[in-house]
Amino acid sequence: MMSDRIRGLLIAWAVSIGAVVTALLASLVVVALAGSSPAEAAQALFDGAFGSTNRTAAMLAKAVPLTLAALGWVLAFSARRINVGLEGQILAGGAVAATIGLLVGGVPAALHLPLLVLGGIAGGALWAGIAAWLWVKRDVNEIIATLLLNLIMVQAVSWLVSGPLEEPTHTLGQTEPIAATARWPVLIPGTVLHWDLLLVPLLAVGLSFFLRGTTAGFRLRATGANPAFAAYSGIRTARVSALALVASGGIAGLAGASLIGATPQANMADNFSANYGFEGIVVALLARNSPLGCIPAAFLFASLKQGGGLLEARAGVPSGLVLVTQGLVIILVAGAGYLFERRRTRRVTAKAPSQPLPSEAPASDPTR
Amino acid sequence: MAPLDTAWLAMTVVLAVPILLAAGGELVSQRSGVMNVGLEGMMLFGAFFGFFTVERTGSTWLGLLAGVAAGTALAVVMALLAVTLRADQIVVGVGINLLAAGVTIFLNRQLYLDAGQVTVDRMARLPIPLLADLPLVGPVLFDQSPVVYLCYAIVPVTAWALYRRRWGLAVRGSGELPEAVETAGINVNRVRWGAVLIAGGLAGLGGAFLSVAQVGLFIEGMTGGRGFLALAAVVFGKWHPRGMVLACLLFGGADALQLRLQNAETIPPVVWLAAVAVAVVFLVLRLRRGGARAGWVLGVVAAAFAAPLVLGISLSLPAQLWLALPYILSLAALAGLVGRARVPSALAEPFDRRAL
Amino acid sequence: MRQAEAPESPESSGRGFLRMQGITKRYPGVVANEDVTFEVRSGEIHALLGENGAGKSTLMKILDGVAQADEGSIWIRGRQVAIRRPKDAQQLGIGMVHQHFMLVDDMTVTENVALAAPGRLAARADLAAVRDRLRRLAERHGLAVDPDARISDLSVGERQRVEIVKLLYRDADLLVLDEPTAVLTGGEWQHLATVLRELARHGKSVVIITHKLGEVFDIADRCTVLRGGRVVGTVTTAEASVRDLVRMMVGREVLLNVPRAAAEPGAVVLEVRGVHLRDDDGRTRLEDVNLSIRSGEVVGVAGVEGNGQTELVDILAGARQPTRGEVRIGDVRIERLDPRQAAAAGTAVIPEDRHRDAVALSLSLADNLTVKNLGESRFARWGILRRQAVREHCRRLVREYDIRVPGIDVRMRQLSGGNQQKAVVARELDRAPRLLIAAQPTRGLDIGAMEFVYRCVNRHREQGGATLLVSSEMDEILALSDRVVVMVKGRVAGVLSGAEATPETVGHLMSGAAEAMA
Repeated sequence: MMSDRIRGLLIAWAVSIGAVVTALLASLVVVALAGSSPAEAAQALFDGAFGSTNRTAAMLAKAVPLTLAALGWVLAFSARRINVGLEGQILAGGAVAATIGLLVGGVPAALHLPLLVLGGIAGGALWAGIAAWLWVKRDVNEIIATLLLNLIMVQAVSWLVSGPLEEPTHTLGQTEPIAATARWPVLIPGTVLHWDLLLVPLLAVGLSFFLRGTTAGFRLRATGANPAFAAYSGIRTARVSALALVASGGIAGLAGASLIGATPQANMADNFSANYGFEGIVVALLARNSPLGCIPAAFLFASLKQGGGLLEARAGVPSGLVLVTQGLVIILVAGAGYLFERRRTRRVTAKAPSQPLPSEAPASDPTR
Repeated sequence: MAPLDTAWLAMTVVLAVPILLAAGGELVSQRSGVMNVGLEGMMLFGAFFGFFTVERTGSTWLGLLAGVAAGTALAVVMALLAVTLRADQIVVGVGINLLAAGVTIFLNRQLYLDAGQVTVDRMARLPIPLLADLPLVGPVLFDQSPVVYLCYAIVPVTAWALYRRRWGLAVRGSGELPEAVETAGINVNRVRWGAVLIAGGLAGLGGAFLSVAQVGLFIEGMTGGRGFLALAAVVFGKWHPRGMVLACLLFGGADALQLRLQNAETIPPVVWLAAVAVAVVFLVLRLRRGGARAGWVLGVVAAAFAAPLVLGISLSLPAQLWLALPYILSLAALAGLVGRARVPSALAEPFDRRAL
Repeated sequence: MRQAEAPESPESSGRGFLRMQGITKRYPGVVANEDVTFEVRSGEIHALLGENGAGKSTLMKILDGVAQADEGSIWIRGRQVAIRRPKDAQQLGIGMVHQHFMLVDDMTVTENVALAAPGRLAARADLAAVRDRLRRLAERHGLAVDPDARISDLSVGERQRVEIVKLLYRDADLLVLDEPTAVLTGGEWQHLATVLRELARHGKSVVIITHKLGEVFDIADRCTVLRGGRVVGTVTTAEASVRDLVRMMVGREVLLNVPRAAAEPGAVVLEVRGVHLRDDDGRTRLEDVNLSIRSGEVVGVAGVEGNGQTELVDILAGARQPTRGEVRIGDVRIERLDPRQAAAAGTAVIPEDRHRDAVALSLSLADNLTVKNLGESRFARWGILRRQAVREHCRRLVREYDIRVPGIDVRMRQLSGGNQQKAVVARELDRAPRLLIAAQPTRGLDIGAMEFVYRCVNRHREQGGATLLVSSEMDEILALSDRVVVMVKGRVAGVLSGAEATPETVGHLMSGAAEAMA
């Protein structure tokens, strides 16, 4: 049965890769229909991401927030909480980070950068914490709450960059660059790649280890797998789930700090996240919620995003095609999930049908 | 009465219409248990294809029809995945939003990039004789484009379908306890398919209204979050048609106000007065019903609103606060601060009849 | 006791309304119904009696069109019919009142009835007409319901009446009620019984699915007993005694005679004093329960299910708080018991509902085996699991408890029921608990696994542990217990020493109380 598990993993990867390939092919067909050359488009897409050191570095830089957002989703989802609020949490983290980068001055980099990073984490965690609090205390569906919190934070950032934090000329709708001491150092000089790339392996491995190798991660997975069982085993499920949401927001906030402190312009502009929060969900979906799987999935997506830039300039194909491909990937992967679910349900019914007890009404009884 | 005049009211109606159209469909969809986060994408689709059709055929009405068709097409994808294949509704919705953004950008640049900004004639207003001459109500309600009049029907029709047809019973049942509907011999997933298609069609119409009737051109991402606003309207309206309309009007009003105040340095006292009055009315209603905690909260809000006025300070409120207000209010409604909103119990849960 | 005459052939059954002939339903690995033949006459009230897992629900799902039989046929009024979906069953006049009511909370009574009434979806929901007819039907059958009330405002008894009106509105000829008293108070049940008798008098057939003898004797004309998926027999209630039915229900062949040493009870381990429990609906579930168990002693709790055993187990496991009363484990008085505290005090629990409370099917066997050991320093230090120690521990448990798996990383879902239960037993007993609470520990297990569980309970006893064994299997109780407590209606109806406890004496206590109930 060990081989069963490996087979399952292989199938999962095959599905993910198949979805990406299918989506890419479909997009190239669209290109052909639009009268451009698919070969040229594919070449441009590839060159855009890998054609030069600069471009590859830019691709890697895009992979950072993507991976972090995806890991945030995975963490919450391990406790079966749906965090659609990653986008807002990224913005919140970025906003706090930018504030720290702008307003705190005269501190050495050794202190300022960690402060920025911690601020980012705190901002994201706090924003997710609202949803977690509402969920625990007022029984508010976390999907709707996190979705609404996104929209509120978009406006809050818009206010910050056009109000209190706007650069002195009050014309650009963005902040000044943050203090040099607060920025991530450049990894490859002359490129946009910063040292925050280290966060990718660090957090992916860290989360993977957390879920598999720590008692807290264990409690989280048990809560996600079967809350009744977890409670019966002495796990405080409400607390665990709420903390999962908060921590998930913290990771997203870290991504926000990178979007402020690890970019060449190093400032905060309106809507600076530009959908990373939602694309992170796609990455996690593609990685089938495996933390380590998020890395290749994020690189793939980052390549698409980065390559899309050249698509328009060189092949004359609008970069919207990249979004089309992303959307298709989600839809294909989500649809393919059906195959897995069917296998699962077959196994679930493979047990004696037991009647629920008269006094309880277990809505979650899998036999019903 | 500078900011709060007849023109403001008329603008409120115009701005509320696309939200209301999308929200009407979303209400039906959510009552049936499908949370359609792809609303924004469906509106965008409707906006583009509506505009495209008008640009090619010159017929506004055909354009609106095309908008409906485009929204419905995306809804088919949504229903196939989220209802039949039981994929996660939220994830599929996110995918649809990305897809729609991509397709519309792609086509827009492919078709119109070289041509500069292409515009079409906006749908003409059609004043209704006699009614349009009424004071206040006339210019606000009856001197609008025909789609607006169509929109007036959305609410009664939605309410009628939800409360006066067996189908409506089935929709509401599917969102609360799908097992009850299935054991009553009705196919839950078929009901949900219908609800999702309606949501798509109406969202598409709302999008087409924006591009075709309101501005006469297409801009990438022109829906600007109206899909999410519609979603918030359903939540703030507590999943009831009447509440939804009020929410849409409130949101439209806030939006209109925000547009008008954009250049104003300070908030005119009349706006403060209105805000305080609304807060006080809420407060009184809540206290009468014994909602002590909500009363406190609103009392503080009202005091906060009233304070600058009393102190004679003129504060300028950022436009973003007005834009975020709908979402803040919705969240407050969910949290039970402005009456308790009851989420349909089976919302966002796929239904599998074999699991009965 | 008289077995009913051999069933007539479908063609000749004059008064027969429904006949399910030779029904077999297999789920992978389990036969839920085997060659079941079940017949209901017009105008009779027929009880389908059996313990949980006996196959009652499966049989009724097949009748309702939710599940399909692998073999066998269904006949209605002498005509063979095919029931593929719930709609087919409805059109044939079969109506089901599910244990979990199929009523939409947010709608009114009238709306719920209109929803369930036949008709096209596009049709008008003529609520006024529905309300009128519903009111007339309700009056005619003595069912007091307010057509305009919202379901969420109704009591459980009222909701059940709505369900019945719903079926009558659809002109159902056969009403199937699944565990009708599971949620009713005594008075509500009396009222319902009157209504059902009245319906039968009007020619409707009624089937009640139950495991409670009281209900059977209250209203059933005939009773079919299922056990292990097969029909044990059909009897005319008036000619049967409580004891006959008890024997038919719980009489499992004696599987094993587990040899064991004489009891050497030591210090008191568990002391339950005056425990009361009221549930959320305000009904009394436990009343003044007193119980004590010494080390080296197995106390069996016998009783027909639904008499408070589940609640007692939940309280001792820390999953539920008693309304009143005191629980002491060892010499510690536990104020607010929660699952952590219970475990820390040395309690091990084998819960009754394995798939809900005892295992996480999507996690690995290793995870399931160690979920309660997270606080132990040998397995985790500073919150980090010591992987090697955990894996060795799991491998040892697999060996010692004879869990038959290829490795410890398999998903729990892939294990057979017997191996799942062995894993639960291993997890709970390996911590050398002072007190073992075993609720229906052998339910759904094959003979091998069952014997294994018995051996584990005996070993625990020999090592000086205290055990509370809750079971609906009489033989299990008698084979393992040093003392037997019989529970009826949330109260301790009697305590028998090991020597006194025989099928007759225990059955007498159970049925005596059941008769008092009836």
